[in-house]
Amino acid sequence: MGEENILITGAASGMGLAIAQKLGQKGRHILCLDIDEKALTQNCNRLNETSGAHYKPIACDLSNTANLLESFEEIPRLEHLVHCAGIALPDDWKSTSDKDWDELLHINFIAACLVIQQGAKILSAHQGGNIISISSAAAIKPMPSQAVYSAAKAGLNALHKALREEFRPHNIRLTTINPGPTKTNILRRFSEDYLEEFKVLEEPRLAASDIAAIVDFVVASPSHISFDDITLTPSAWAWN
Amino acid sequence: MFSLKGKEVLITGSTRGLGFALAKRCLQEKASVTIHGSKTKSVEDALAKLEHENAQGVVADLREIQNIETLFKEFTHEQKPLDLFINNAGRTLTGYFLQQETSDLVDLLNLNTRAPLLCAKHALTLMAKNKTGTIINISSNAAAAPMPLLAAYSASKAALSAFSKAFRAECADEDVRLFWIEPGAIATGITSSYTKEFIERYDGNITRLNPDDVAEHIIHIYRSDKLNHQHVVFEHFSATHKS
Ligand SMILES: NC(=O)c1ccc[n+]([C@@H]2O[C@H](COP(=O)([O-])OP(=O)(O)OC[C@H]3O[C@@H](n4cnc5c(N)ncnc54)[C@H](OP(=O)(O)O)[C@@H]3O)[C@@H](O)[C@H]2O)c1
Repeated sequence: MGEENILITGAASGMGLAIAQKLGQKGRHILCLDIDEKALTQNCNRLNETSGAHYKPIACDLSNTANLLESFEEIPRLEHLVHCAGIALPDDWKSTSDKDWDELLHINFIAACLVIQQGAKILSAHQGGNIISISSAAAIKPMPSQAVYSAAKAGLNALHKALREEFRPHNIRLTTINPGPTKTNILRRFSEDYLEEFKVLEEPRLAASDIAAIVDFVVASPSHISFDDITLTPSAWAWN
Repeated sequence: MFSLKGKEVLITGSTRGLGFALAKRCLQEKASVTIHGSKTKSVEDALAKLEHENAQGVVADLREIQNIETLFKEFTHEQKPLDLFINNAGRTLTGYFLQQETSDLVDLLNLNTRAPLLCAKHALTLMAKNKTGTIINISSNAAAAPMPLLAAYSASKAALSAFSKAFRAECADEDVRLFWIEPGAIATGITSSYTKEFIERYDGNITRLNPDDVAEHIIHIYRSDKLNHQHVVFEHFSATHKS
């Protein structure tokens, strides 16, 4: 394989950043997309100095459709797309506004569908490759008071499943990764009480690097294998 | 048995198709029914067809977020309770996902997912005041079995079904029932927009359910008080899903 071009969304922090770091092998071009331009630039600069790959920041607000489309227009070629951008909010019906639900659905579901479509257009124009989306265990087991978040993630997983047949002739493999509670900053908009009630902070949780290791494995795996759907949860969770 | 007699019912997307069949059925059960559509003309035409003193209409394009609030404001301006809310409005989008227009995708996801989720929130807000009521979400069997050439639609319905599963517990806390329906193809106008690839992919002979039969089934489920349905998936018995 020659040079590989990889796009990672949500790459300024958390899982996206861990993935960007993990995939940083010599000869790779890694496009890091995020709304947080400052963190993105700092991370790209640091990674450019410390790893063999070439990192390039793309500042983009995925909740703005015009901005999303413009950003993809500037990407000439891709071998892999890792869609990691997403937000979390408490979404119980009593304490949240229509606007909160809209924001959650728009970024986690509608923008995600558009990212998959725009990314797939670029992949299919060349030799194909991988589309890997970071979904959530909530897609498999919808959670009360996280009904909207669960809906967005379940919708995203269904999209991947439905697209497998259409994308096969384009040599595009589709993978959803569904992590349980993971140590990142995604929960910053939740109150202490809320987090306590739903036991999301119970240790040990997964680490961003755990998810990055899976992405690395999927990207490196031979093209005759398709990892359709990978769910990983903290062992202590023992869910069913 | 739950009875519909004298109950206040609001059904989105009830100017034709399954929603219209449900409105007819609820009127037969002596409920007071508010039908809804995106256009004044279609609502007026449907009311003329129903020709019933217990039927009234409201217009709201549910692709726009602010119209969701308007829909419920208009419904409640007479201070009536909401006993049964059916999230039925929806559209389809068949064909190659890679060729679909951004604006069509956004419209579809806003109408099929964002609107019913927010409508359910508004309906529950009204029902929680009286500690009673029922919400029925019309999803699709494409939610459980996402279909090629129907990718975004399948995703929109999978999101609605997953939401229903989680939101059901929040409704139960307020003594409100929620269940969702995942039917196979129904003989309504929605199928007229199917693309050639879609019809070919599914053998050209998709067996469709009769909307009146589906409505009958849903009302039957509504009325049962002993069997607590969570969700119901069904299709025409001769339906073959090549997958
Ligand atoms: N037909 C099937 O094969 C099938 C299978 C499974 C599930 N379903 C689901 O069943 C539900 C009803 O489908 P149907 O086949 O009866 O559809 P239909 O015959 O096409 O009727 C659609 C209804 O939705 C309303 N609507 C359309 N766009 C709207 C908008 N932007 N805002 C508000 N209302 C809008 C229409 O009102 P106007 O007339 O004013 O436009 C109409 O009353 C949908 O949720 C659909 O996804 C259908």
